[in-house]
Amino acid sequence: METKDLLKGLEKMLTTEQINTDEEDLYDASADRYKKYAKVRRVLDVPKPKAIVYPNSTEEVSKLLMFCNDNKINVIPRSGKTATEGGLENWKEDTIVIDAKNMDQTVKIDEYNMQATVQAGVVLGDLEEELRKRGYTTGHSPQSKPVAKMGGLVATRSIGQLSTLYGGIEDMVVGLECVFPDGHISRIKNVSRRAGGPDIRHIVIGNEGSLCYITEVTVKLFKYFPENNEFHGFLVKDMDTGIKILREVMVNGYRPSVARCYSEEDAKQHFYHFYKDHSVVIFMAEGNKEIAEATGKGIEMAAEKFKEGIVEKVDSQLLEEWFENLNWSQQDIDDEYEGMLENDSHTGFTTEVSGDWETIIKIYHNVMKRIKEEYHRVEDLTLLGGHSSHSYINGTNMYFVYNYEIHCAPEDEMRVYHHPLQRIIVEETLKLGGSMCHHHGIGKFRNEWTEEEHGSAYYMLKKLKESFDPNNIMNFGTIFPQEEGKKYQK
Amino acid sequence: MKIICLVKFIPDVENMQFDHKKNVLMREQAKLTINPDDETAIAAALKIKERAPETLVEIITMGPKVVMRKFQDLLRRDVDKGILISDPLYVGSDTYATSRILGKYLKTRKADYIFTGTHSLDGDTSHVPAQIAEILGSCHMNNVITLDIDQLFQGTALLRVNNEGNTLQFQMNPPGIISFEKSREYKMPYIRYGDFQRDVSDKMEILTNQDLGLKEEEVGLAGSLTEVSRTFMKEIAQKDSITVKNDEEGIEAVYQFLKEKGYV
Repeated sequence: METKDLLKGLEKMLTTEQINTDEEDLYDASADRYKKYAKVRRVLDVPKPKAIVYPNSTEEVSKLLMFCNDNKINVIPRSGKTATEGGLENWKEDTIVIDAKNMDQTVKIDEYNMQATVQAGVVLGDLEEELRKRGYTTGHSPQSKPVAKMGGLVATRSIGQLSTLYGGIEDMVVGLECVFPDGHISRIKNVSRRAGGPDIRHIVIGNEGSLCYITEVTVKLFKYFPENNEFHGFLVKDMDTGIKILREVMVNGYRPSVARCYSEEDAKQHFYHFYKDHSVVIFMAEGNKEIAEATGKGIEMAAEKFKEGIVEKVDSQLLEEWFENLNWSQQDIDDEYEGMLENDSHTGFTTEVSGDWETIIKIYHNVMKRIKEEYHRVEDLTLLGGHSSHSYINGTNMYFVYNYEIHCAPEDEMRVYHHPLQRIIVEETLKLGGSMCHHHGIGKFRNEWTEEEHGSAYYMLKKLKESFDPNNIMNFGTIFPQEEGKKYQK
Repeated sequence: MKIICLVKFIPDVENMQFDHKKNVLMREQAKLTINPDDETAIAAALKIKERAPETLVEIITMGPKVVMRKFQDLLRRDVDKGILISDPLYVGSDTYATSRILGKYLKTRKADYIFTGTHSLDGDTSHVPAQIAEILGSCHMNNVITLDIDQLFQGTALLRVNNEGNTLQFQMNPPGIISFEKSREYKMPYIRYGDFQRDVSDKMEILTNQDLGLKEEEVGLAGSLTEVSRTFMKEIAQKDSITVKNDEEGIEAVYQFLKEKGYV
């Protein structure tokens, strides 16, 4: 479609203030944090969208999607811009970004029923701040909390630092509203539970904008007791010991809000002042006084069981200070961008996977071994490590972290560094039956493994796409591999 | 315009060990790296080529064939031609013998400018460029920080030169030899991903003494009038250290230190 016709079409639905064709904003919108280095160095290889639009209401979103569906225009749903896996990257010439910026109202905070309803453009940090004044919390605390918005958090099936107690976003969402490419508005009502057929919330949660556009979300509330927080930490001999301690806590029914185990290399960047070349295990017990104390006792008992592997206890004050400063701010993001302009480096990449208790430690060791033996630029690595940060009764995640000196052209950085490392991690994880993607979303850069990730169940995912988005206008290339997009991946 | 760059591959001295008993660098263990000043010279030439793609850039190195891989990596960076001068007869050549060998070849080549580095990290005599200039009867400038590319295209090289902390400006008409200091002004471009394994053998030529026709007594140990009597590691003075805690006072101390040094 000709750009001028596209823009004319948009102008029939929206005001001029709601349509953004600024070249810098379009360049910024053509990729997300996945290609942060190439973006800063102005060497992105993907097309810019034609416009960014800011609907004021669900009805406007519906009109926009119908227009795009009729005219085969690719739609990138966007809210907080904190995506890390290429989910917001554009692969089509005819694309518009639908940004939830103007849909930023808190609709209702229902303290009695312990629910909060917000539009997709509400910043999680702002909601959390309001709730805490009233003695509540969402319990959702990803590192991007200060800038991430509710629509994107639900779309990516996100998880936060306190998930071991509060769960991931999928446990928090009560109901929601979304719009499908044909313009249909679906509202899933807010009830505590239902058995009215399959749980259709899960069609939307984690769809990464590939099926629909989320306009409103209702999440649970929890009472907030920060005065009862207890920190427990240990230096341990190795990751194996650390994972065993995590498991012991979880299988005995304790639910600390924070339960983490860092490899020595990863511990070095977070805890340089006390890690002493060891792996580090950290817990935070949270909740009402009795629960927090009992959880703390449970943690100590688990540590006692594996005391042979414990080197020493960590001062809880140090852990509290670390935790207070864990989240990103917009300033941190801006500082990283400035740093990438000046230096041939950035703050690194991650690939997060999950597995059961037995498998996760095998995945960890296999990946470490393979990278050190196989990776052709291993001498450029400045960091290679991992940590478990989200635990369940039946397993945990592993968040591989890596950084490197960039000795190649900015255009080639991903092909030379991140992609080969990610490939090793994904291959080892899938080989052992783990999930290649714990919480960041598949985006566009793990989509070659989507079918392998789901196996025979991929059929279900594919049918959803065919059914809800037959014209393939929703976030082309996200989750579902596309031949046309391969040139941007290799 | 044609620019010839002289490049030396040296042991990575920053990561090399020194045998204090024998007074030698343990070269066998060391990786090779491009001499930083020479890298700046090539980067400057490629920057000129970027502005004027018709510029021809040729690189010349003298050394054993083990430098081949690194040399080919330079050719994958838009360098037009590479000459490796390699012959067992040349082993042990001092700076003058080296200059003689390089000069013999350079006399057969026409170039507007010869770019070199000023110092080499492993030798640091700074003899070779000056000696080559003498052999070629060419003018020469050392310690060049930058050259004005626009002026270059007008027919003259306007050079900013480091003279013991002061910056002077010189003008040089071609042909001439320009020796660069390592500089942030000129950054070596990276090899592009698609070129990592590109076959550049058609750009390369290996020359031996048979091609250059020097007498045995003019090259190698036989042709080297200088000999190293002693080498020593520079003594690094022990500096004071301050330990601070990770608290408000410690952070303030670090901040003030960085501010004093001009980093913030």
